[in-house]
Amino acid sequence: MKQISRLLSVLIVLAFVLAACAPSATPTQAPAAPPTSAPVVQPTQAPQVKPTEAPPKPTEAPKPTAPPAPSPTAAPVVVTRPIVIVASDQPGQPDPAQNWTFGGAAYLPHVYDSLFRYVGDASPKLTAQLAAEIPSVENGGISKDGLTYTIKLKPGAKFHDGSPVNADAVVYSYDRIKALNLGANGITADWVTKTEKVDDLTVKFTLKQPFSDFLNSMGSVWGNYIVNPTVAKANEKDNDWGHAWMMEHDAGSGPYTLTNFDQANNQITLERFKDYWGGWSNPNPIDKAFIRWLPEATMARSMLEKGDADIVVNLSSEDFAALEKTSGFDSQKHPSIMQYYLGLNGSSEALKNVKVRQALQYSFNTDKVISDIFNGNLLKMNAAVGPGYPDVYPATPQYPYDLEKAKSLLKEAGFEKGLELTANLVGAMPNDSAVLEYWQSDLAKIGVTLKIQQIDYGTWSTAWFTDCTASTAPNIGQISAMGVGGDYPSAWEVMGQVYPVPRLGGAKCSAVYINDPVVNDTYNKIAKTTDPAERQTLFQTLYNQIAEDAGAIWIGQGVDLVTLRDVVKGYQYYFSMGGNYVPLPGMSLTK
Amino acid sequence: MWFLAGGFTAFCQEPHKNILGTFVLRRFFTLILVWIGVTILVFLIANVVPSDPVALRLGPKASPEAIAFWRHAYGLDLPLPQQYIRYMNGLFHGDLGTSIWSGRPILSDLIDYLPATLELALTALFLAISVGIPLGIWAGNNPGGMADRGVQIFAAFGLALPLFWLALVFQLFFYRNLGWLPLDSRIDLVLGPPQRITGFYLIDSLLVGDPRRFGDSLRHLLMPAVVLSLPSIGAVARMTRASLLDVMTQDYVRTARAKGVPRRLLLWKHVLSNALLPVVTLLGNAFNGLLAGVFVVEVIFNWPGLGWYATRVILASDYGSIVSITLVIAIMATTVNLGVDILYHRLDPRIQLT
Amino acid sequence: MTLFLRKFIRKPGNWIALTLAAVLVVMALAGSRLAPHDPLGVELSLKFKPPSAQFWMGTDNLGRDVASRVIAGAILALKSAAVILVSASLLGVVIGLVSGFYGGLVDEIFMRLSDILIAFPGLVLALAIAAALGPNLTNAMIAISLVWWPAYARLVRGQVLSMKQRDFILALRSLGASDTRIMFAHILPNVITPLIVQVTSDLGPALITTSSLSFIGMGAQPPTPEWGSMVSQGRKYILDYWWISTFPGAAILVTVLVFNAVGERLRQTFQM
Repeated sequence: MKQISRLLSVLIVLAFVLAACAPSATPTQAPAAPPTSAPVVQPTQAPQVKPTEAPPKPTEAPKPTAPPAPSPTAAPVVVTRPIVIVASDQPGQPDPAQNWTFGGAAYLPHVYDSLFRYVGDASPKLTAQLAAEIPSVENGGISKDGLTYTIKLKPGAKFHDGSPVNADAVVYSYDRIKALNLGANGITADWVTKTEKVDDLTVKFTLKQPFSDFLNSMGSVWGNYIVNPTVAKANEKDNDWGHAWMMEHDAGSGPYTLTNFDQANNQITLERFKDYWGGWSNPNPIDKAFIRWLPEATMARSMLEKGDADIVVNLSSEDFAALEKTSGFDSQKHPSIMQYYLGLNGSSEALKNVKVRQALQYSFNTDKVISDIFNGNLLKMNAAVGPGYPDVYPATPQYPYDLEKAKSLLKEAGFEKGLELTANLVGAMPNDSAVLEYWQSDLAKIGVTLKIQQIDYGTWSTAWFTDCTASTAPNIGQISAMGVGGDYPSAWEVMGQVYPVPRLGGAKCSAVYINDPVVNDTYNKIAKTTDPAERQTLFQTLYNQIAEDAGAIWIGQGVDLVTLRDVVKGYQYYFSMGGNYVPLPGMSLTK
Repeated sequence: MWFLAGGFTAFCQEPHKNILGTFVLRRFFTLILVWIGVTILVFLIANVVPSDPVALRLGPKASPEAIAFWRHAYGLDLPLPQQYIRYMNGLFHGDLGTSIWSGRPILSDLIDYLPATLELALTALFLAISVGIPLGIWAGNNPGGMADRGVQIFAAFGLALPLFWLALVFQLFFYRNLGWLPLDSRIDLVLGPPQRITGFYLIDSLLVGDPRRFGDSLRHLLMPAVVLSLPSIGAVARMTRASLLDVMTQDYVRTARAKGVPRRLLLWKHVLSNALLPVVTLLGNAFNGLLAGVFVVEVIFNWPGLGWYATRVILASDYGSIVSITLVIAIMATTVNLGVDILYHRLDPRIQLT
Repeated sequence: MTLFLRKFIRKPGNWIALTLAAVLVVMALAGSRLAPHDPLGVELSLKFKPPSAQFWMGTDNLGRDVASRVIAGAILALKSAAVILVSASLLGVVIGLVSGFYGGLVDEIFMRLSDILIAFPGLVLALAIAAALGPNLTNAMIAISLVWWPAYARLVRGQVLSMKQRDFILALRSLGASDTRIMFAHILPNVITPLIVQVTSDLGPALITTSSLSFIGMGAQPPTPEWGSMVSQGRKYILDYWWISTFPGAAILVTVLVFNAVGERLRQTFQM
């Protein structure tokens, strides 16, 4: 009898195993269908990835237009159901003076407008949105000394409540960002000493110093939104500039309104604002959108398969590959603003010798990591900034995979007997655990013992970025797996987040603790110069010096994986906004 | 609300019968000490963990001045004992402070998230009782039989399965493969929650007369509640069975049997009320176990309750919120335990109240 | 004690359960010798292979043999559960003995302290300790032990209370035996049996708790083949490569089942 009950136990275990092993054949799977998406990303220099659609590059700020390639035979079906988007990053806070998260790009650009905005995929272009034109030295918009920017506004722009978007609103918005000091001010507002109204449709910005990237920064998806001063002032409490109110309501002028910010249920509801000042020329616009964040990303693919979601951003490589082969889905790959790297703490005892750092560079098999762990979904970098950005030139020296070289460098540095290092996993990079575990096995071959530890993001980021105690804090390893995303498409900006170069505002220390005066000096010069030839020389010097310092092991520039159901039309990828942004105004649903 | 009823009836009795009343009062004072102890413990932990919630919130771009400003605004630059006094002071005035993570008053957050957890935990408890006890009786009635074996195996599995694994398997099976139940959340995205009165979707939709939302909430509640309750069902079934068998062999039952009392009558009148006594104590433990399991289940099922909220604020090192959540959970757990003790005494006054 | 053991051995079901448990322990100890491949051997070209003759439980995302990792994880599982229970019970025994024997203020303090720890959500404590001390298996075990000792202290204290008034204790006292001697030489042996029963029953739950912590990422760190973290790492592949999560999960299940069975039978014997 007891034996029978034992047998029963085993059978029930098997039953559970069978239940867990989901038969992967789904009803829509076409077994031998050729892949419909873009070719696999080559892990080489230039970005080979082409998006599956070739959207025409609009020269204006994106007005809600008809979908670019309407099929001639299909009569446009008017669909009234809401679209469901699953974003890959948390939404952050809805107050645009605070939000700087990748997830914020999913909804803020729909609710709010800014003076300028980047459009386009592979070579994003700065366009004027609320501004009437791009200011330059020629048209008098920028003063010769680079300290004053005079920007004209488009007439007729209105907020959701009908009040006009005028110079007063712009001045209020930028003053507000500075006054609230909640984080997003580091992007643009901190460079400005004064924002003044010249007349109803003209605003003057006075800068602390000449800043060649100033206009670019104004096109960022963060820190530059124009909010409605009437509404903000009406809902002020204890001099908070309307901050508490804006955590749950919208004060914008954009094509959509924020009707519900449900933090508890991890979802946001946007509804189309029919009286948008830019007008609607899309015959079949989407009236309502739900944006969700899944804490357990495992089920995102199932949601797509079941039709519970229409778009999912950044499925895992394996899930994405599975749906690429399935009919009924449009799978797209686009180079993203993200860059992934292993930061080496150059001020720590173990890593302060540049030879050790260079040895680590040689020991990392970038090609294999990109092809086998990321399934080819990363762009190889050959300088401190990825090839998808402007102003990037290959650096010298390069560090191809060479274990022998690594070993000899370690010997030269005096670590022939071996070296012990610790790497931090903080969840800032996809597949970080796999990357480190793979590298760990390679490092073992050259006598380096790599200990991997998971640290909660808060503790790590406080030590590494805020208190700058990464070298002395207990339990913080010398290597960290992380990712950085440019605030706007600027190589200069993105490097500022990684290297401890002096900038206005920003954290006290950056991701890589090496203080190289050549790097700092060159970096500062770039900010001040506008001569293209000089810029190129300076950038090249900067890249070479950074490569020489070997302070970070570049794994690759990210590739956003976007999977849409066939019924979604009109999607375009916006490089500067990151994958979470879905251009709703120009999109429609066919079912 | 058994214990409240018990407590009040105790107070209303004559003084010489007022053992229960004194007991409740004494325990209550002890509980208050315990609750204060819990808050102190969390504050101590907050001091040890080297994480700055403000820096985290503001992000890597924030200037040191901004961080310092907001640390001051949240009172984080005060010495720890002073922060504690500030917190306790606020507590007495009903102000739990502002959550750094959500940006809203912590009290509002708690009011939002608590009903979700209670709905889940109480449903799981209900399942534990309504499924566990009958199973235990069934098994106990036919000791050695197939039913008995089956229930024992079921109980063993229920107690052995890690909840996180079970949750994933359920989602795979019932959502992906069979498509019978929704993946997560409390209600369908497009439908939206019922009008809020209590925060319990089932109750609210009934009160408003909204059968569609009632049905949908029920469908969403099913998987997380069942997953959460499985270990408890097993424990309750097992305890009921053991207790039943225990009582059945007692002398007074044998006497009744010998006298020819019909089995049915025997079961319901004599045996059950005594057999259920240990099960009552177990329910107290079961509820504690449920509260522990609720963390994992809420996260995997995207269920916006205290456990979900706790995970978010722990990740954000938002210790202000963590203190309040811990306090709420501690209050719930200890109150239920007290209630169980009182219920136990009411059911069998022979039991000594320590 | 010997009487207890003899009662236990008498039922066939009991020593079947005990044998199974012994088999598990032996397997765990043999660990590396039993494993067909290197549990830490990364080989990217072999990734995601389904279960086959060569790889009984398939390979994971880095090409490592899941079966070897599961076997290697057995010793970790048993060790962590054992360490937690031993430390928790040691602490609990001492506190329970002292608290029950002396009573009064000491008793009040310890009992309130244990109330606080019981009321405290264990997960929060474990996470906080992991964040403060550094996330690894050892610190996770410390955190869990701190939350577990109250249950044992209560158990022991209850036994002490019921024994305190017994004749032979009073006799010993009047003979002048020291407190320590009475506590450890006379009371403790009578308390051991129910304690062992409870501890064995708790092996399963202790294992689940460690795996849950590792599942969240605050326990064992990669590439340690701890079952909970293996389930966690494998879950993003569960749709196409189910074996990576399922086998470690089943391993947890089977181990806990076996130990629960042993504990249950011990309890039954004790109550006989």
